[in-house]
Amino acid sequence: MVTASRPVLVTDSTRPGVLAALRELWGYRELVVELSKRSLQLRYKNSVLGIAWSLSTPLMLIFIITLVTKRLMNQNIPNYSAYLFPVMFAWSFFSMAIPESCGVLIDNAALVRKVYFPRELLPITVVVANLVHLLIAMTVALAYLALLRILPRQVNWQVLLLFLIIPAQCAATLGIGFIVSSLNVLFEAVRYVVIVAMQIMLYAVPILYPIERVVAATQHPWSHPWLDAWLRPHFVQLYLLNPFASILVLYQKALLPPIQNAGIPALPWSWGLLGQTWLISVVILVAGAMVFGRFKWTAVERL
Amino acid sequence: MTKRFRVVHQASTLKRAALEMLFNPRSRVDHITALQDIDFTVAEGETVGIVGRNGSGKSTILTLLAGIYRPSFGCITVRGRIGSLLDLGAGFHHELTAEDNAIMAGMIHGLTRAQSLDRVPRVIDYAGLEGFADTKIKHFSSGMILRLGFSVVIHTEPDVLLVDEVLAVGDETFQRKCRETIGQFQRQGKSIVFVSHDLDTVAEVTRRVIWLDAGRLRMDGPSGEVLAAYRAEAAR
Repeated sequence: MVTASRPVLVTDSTRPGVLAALRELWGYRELVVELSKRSLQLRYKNSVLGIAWSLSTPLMLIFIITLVTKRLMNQNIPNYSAYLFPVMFAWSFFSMAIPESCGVLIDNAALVRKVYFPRELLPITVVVANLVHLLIAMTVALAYLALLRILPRQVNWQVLLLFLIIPAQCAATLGIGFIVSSLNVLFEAVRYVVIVAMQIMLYAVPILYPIERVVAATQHPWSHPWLDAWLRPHFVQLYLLNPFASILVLYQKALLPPIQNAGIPALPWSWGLLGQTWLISVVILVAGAMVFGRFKWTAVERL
Repeated sequence: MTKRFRVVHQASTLKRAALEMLFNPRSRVDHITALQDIDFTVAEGETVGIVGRNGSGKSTILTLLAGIYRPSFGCITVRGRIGSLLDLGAGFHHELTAEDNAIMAGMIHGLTRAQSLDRVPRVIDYAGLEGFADTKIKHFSSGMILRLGFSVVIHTEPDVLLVDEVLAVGDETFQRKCRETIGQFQRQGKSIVFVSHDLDTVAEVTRRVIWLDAGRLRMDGPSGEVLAAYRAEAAR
């Protein structure tokens, strides 16, 4: 019964080439879809609202932040909540997918230890399942903008820019997911580091303040002479090197009319920023895949 | 082929790893050699049993053959689709129905979605679960889950079957059915690597047996001879 098309599995201590690894992953694409479907199905099995629950946390935060900004801080920006919708939903993608990636190998230990399949599928599945949330959330955000009559006037073809932002966001998230999922098997503390890092990150992205505030903060001299001389001139660029921050800025600039804040003219949509974000995201993805490839075998033995 | 594992003396922590890296970058980690210089070939259509005491490396060999671990030195080549029966029902989800689990598991074992869907009726039928296809498996008995797990793997049409003790689980009827299926696979010319502590079953199923002793290949030959030698040593 020898057939020519029979698969040959060779395992040795070397690493397969990138192309061979990608080809193998492509062969499992249906499984990724199925695993993602399963994870969504199981998460919302017992609720009538189902997947809509995923919107509840960001919606609540949008409400609270709008309230605090308008009533307590007296920042009267028209349609402030509209500016929060896309960024909060985009943030929600990061803040759900990354901690979830941490545990994905451990949660599937029973399977990983007994059946061979490319381990990369598990972190990929986390991103795909959360991408479904993100797409639903962005549809809701666009509907809200339409409701406020922002969408038909100011935004038209720019909605298509979302399709250039979302893949970069997925790439960056997957890269980080690769790193945290493999390292978390080896070091339990990784999970806690990630949780704390995500809490801190919330303040390093333009959600609680518009990006124009960051620009404004660099317009006046800082009290510390050394920081003033070295950090202040580059602060905005450094801030935007963080892909979490730049992706959120891109969402806002693609969907919403310029916002006047703190006397700083609104930053326009920037193709340069998009390119830079893509570059950084791809670097993170490649680095993450390398870390995962390096540690996945050890991780499976330790599960 | 040799397989070494790093010995983890203490739960590894980031702090320890960081300190090690800073102050003791060349620190040697302890290894245990689970399998040393193992070299064997299983011909197409051959069934090979692996015996040995607990911890001799039997299950490690199967895990390596399945591609789950990779060897520290040397190379393993497996030609054909692998059906790994290392654990029945691995990856089943209790909140999913028998049918959904069967589809999922088939795909995890390397089938496409269409192939997996196509086999589901046969899988359910073989497992004797007609009428329970749309029941969540959390309501199943452990025997039903084992039957479903076994059924999924044998319906992936593997060329190489890796069997670890699974024939020792389940009731009489199921064990007989498993045995029959194994016999059928043998007649179809599939290769089987079979690990068991039950020497009578090994004698019955295989013609050739490999005896592992503390990670080394102690004996490899006709099952009668090897099993007699192994029994003699065990009796001492």
